[in-house]
Amino acid sequence: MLPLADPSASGLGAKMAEPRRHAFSLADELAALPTAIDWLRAVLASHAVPSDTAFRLELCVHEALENVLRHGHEAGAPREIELTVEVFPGHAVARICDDGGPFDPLSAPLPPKPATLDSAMIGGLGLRLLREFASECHYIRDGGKNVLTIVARRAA
Amino acid sequence: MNLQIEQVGEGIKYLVLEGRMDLAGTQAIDHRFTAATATTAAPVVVDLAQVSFLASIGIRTLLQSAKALKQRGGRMVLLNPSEQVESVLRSTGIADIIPIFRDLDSACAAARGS
Repeated sequence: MLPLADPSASGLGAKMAEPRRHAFSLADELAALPTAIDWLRAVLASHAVPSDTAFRLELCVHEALENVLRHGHEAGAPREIELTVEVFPGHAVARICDDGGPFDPLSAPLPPKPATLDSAMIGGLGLRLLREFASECHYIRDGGKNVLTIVARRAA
Repeated sequence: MNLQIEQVGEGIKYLVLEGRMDLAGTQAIDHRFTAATATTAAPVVVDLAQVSFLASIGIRTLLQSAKALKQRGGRMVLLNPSEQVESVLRSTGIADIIPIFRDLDSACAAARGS
């Protein structure tokens, strides 16, 4: 298991053996995304995560994983992709590890928001959603892997 | 993911989406949605009331069709997204370029351009 970016910030840490932590390995193909999202939804439902928290975590994971599966090949193909989820009172944490080329989705430039329909760009929407819908998001490159940690907190 | 295609008013296409517009859901309706919206100049109202999830892939389908429709002189508007789906549309700026309405009459009037 990889060390975490900032265990104190996310509430992760030496809790790996508890049943609230769940892990899922993805095949390196876009077709694996729906299966992973179905799995995530089942985990969140099994812990009765409130719908707003679940919606935001599902959205962020969907966008981050889609990006890895579509673009991971550009700088070296990802071979192993793992999604882990931990559920805590008041928040849920997802972590995506992949051994593709280095890519920090939190510092990549975003296109401007569209001013008109004609000028609207089709790309960049997913990274914007990831950044705006996560309560917290952390990225590190660790041991040849991209490690993205996404926290969704229950609305106050 | 379901897509129902109807006509309302004077030649307005009324597209009712139902389900999750994630990767799998969007792929399931993308061809029919694009064929219904991007091949004519008829005004389009897209009813989102029964859409429970919207990811960027789903936005792309809406956006590409709205752009193609505009190039033909037509107009697309959105009807009744849930609070969560609307937050996605606002966050990405889509709500500023594909207008959102709360009732069908206003949506149809805006789609017609009247």
